[in-house]
Amino acid sequence: MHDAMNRPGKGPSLLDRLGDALVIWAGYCFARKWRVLLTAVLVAMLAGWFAASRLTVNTNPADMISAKLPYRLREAAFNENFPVLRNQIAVVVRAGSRDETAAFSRRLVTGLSRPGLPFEDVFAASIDPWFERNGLLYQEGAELDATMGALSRAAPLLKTLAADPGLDNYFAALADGVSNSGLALGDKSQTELSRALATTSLLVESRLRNEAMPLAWSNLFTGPPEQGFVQEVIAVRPKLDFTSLQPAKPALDALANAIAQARADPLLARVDVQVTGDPALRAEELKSVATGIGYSFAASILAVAILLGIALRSVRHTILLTGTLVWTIVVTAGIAAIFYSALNLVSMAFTVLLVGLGIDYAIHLYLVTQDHRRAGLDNRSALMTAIRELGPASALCALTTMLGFLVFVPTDFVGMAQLGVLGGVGVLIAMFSAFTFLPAGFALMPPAPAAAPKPGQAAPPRRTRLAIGLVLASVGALFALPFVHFDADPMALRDPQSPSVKAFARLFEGENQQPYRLSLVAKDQSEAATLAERARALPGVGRVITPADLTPAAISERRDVIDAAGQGVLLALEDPGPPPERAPDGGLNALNDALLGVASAEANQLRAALTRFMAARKQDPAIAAGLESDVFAFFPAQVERLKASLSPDWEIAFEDLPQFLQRSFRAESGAHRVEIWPKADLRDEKARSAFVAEVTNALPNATGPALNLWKAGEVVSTAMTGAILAAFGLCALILLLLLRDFRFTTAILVPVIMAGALVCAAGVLLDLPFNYANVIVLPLLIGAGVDSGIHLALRAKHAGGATAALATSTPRAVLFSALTTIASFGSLMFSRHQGVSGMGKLLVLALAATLLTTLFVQPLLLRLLGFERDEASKATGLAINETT
Amino acid sequence: MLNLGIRRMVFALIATGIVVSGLTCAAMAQTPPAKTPATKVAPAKAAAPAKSTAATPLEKDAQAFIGALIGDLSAAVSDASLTPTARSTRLRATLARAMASERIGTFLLGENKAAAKPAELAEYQNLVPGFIAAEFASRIDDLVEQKLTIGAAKQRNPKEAIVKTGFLRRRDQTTVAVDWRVTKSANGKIQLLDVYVNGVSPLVTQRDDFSAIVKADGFGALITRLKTRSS
Repeated sequence: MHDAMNRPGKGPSLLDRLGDALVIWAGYCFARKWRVLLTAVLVAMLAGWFAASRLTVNTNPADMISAKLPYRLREAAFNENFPVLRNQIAVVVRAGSRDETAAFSRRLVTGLSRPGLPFEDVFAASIDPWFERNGLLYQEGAELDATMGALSRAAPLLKTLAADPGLDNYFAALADGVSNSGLALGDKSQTELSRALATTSLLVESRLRNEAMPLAWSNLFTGPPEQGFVQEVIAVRPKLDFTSLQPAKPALDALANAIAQARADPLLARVDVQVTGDPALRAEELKSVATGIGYSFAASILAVAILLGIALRSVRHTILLTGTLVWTIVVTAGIAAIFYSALNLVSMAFTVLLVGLGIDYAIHLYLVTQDHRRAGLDNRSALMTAIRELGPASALCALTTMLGFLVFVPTDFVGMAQLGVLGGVGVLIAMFSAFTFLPAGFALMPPAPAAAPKPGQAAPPRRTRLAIGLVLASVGALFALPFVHFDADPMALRDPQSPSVKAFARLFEGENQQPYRLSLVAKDQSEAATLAERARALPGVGRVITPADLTPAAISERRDVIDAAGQGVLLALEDPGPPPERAPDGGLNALNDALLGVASAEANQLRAALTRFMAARKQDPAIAAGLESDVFAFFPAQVERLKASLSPDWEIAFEDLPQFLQRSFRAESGAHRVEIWPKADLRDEKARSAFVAEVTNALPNATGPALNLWKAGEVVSTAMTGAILAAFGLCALILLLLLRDFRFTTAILVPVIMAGALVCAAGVLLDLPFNYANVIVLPLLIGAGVDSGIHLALRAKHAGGATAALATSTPRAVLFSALTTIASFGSLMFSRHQGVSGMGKLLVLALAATLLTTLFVQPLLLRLLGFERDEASKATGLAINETT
Repeated sequence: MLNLGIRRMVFALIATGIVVSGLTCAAMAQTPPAKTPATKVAPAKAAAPAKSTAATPLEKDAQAFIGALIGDLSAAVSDASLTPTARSTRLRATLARAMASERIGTFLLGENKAAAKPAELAEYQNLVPGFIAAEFASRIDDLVEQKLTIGAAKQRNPKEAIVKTGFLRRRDQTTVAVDWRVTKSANGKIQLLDVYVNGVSPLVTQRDDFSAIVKADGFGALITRLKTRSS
């Protein structure tokens, strides 16, 4: 019974005992086939129901790192103090002018503030009544002077239009400006006039094309925004339904509805609105991953079934093996539901991984059994013989593969640890199912017809050359190892085309909207000021905000200048006087006359546009009404905002600020938040690391998204390094302990090391960095890669040498196992989620590299290490001395 | 994960956006006084001021002050015996006596004070009353010849009031609204703070210009500008 590990004069090894146990169990399953199959079906049904009813998915990437780490504890304390900053949805509103963004924001905020909607807070600073009233107090020095100067110069036109907001009056006001343009009014006024003429031309020409182009008063005389667009962000805090798989879905749906309604206004057709923020990012990521995993799972099952059909050439046998696979996955899912209430975005991939890895045991057992059946043995004898040969190897393989998964369990990367547990347990269940269902299945099969044994195959010269080539490639791959790096940004994992990811990128384009900041918590304003001073001294820090900085400074002086300009404007608006009496088209005619005397491109352009306008108006009088509507579309709202802004509060304290802002910077406990902005764009990983390192060196208690990314990257890359070393070390130890043959162990491990080097080099060449999702590749390569080596090496030992082993079914089993695994992992490559797709690509590369090195390098190694000589010795009657 | 940098966003979004949305070109509607030939004309006859019910003492004082000031300015303008230079000098002197020069000078300087050396600051304080008087004089010169209506005074706060007047522009018979902002000093004296012509504050526009000059060329350039304008 202990054929595989023959050690004359010594008792059975642990592997031998395992092999014996498997033989006994298989014998029971063979004898009690119906009982076994029925029980298995019941267990699967129970497990499936349990999994379906209990399992959810936690999409928070932060929860994939241990909550006990110091930075996580600080993060939790921070969230406790400032809950308003958690789970914010950011609505990014972009348009060509502030008039449009403000009008849209107002409509949207009104829509979101209706009772009964699932929102805790909605805050749009740009249209908040408090900021509309006091916003000017935040301008400083020369900028406030320039704004007030321009406002004061605008008073006459505002007065004219307030008296009569009509198109002809608008033309009359323009005419007045043009008529007076010859006077020394200064460069600013001239620039403003030129802009007004050019803008009016665009309006007229758009209307002539039957396109609505509302006049952007904010751009009219100060010019278009520097970036070509104005971007505002509305913060929305949703009410989350944690009983649902997607807690933010009701809020996101309500938000989408409100956005659609706000955009229904034709004036706002050109406003671009995108939604991002943690809830939106996670919802889309979950959808992307779940859909991708779903398709990958179906595709991998199908691919495996097709490959099995090709390999086995029997529908019944294909169904048998596929059935063991499905049973494995369902039961593993049921066990997942017992131990975990929620999977995460990484551990969801266990289903696809098990499709690839779980079928291997069944394939090996089936092929070896078939060999013996064709040799003339009956089903039971063939099966038992195969189990005696394969049992220990399969047990060893299960152990090493399981280790490859479980090495993450002791790390702080708890997200991958979950995948490790599920994978490890799944592999054990896969082995169990193979040694349970195949015996039961073979018990139901008729005896196989005898077949002529396949002739042995001598190693062709090409095999040796290929092996040498692989060795050289592996050595060359070592030079790429220094360039292997870890990408810690979870955004890199997400589908770059998903709306929330594109919107997130937009935040970096808006002024003062980048999301990667750091925060400190101070017990009071005095401590906050001290911390802020220390932060401001750091070269990489852009600006620092404490609660005291939120109220404007020098209110009295600023109010004076606002008051001085505002009085004139308010007088003009409140008492504009009666509309001027004018003949029909008096203003238009006056403008045309005035433009005749001006030699400028803008004046010429406007004159031409007005000529076309007058001609078109004769054909279609509605054009004039349309143009008037365009000119004055945003005028009433702007006048109201202007009036509000010219009467700021006399005194401002922190408690006067909008509640949302207060809660963002001062906790109920009294804690003060210090917000630290970077100078650099932190989308760059190096800039992010430098910024976080600089701040945390000076201020160790900092927290925030930038630090979370940095720390999580450290944790995961450390976990990966530890897991690789642990997987390799443990596998080597187990092989040495159980096989008790250093050369044997070497022949198994060397191809794995080579495959690892090749995969790392391929990752560098193909720009596939390691990330949260694919850190499992190398440990899995070690665990699973060792399996093929174990099978081939033990078969060589049993058959009497590498050459003899190559003539058995084992290389074919290794090949088909690898192909099914590659097919399964390969299905992940087509996911839109970059993390899952990258994991699939690296896994395929890893399996392919392992397959090549195992099939081509290991036989060469076995020969070089003397196993062929031992075969020659055996032929002359000498016993093999290498025993286990 | 996201939070908002409120203060600077407010600065960038609110202050520039909301207010600037109401801006227009000064040249479009600013109505400089029409030039009239130097002929002897009778002083502008002021229409009877509108009677306000229950006017406060400050409103009455403000109205009387502006009425007297306009009278003095009209007398200076209509005095045919004066040469243009002498007329300008008399207008400036009249305005200089009526204005709160120190307060106006401080307002015009704004935050540019930090850019001034002590000697420059002293020179500025010497020059600015003449500059302000010259600026006001150039805007008011032609207006006071026109038909004038003195409207009601409105008290804005315990120390300030606005007196509304209207001038009928000869050129096109349109009304130019001129609003006089006055303040009562600690010693009870009424002084002129600002003159809004169709809503435009020359002090605010000058302050903007001052800021631009100091930012571009330094405080010395501002002193030069004051000297040139005052002479």
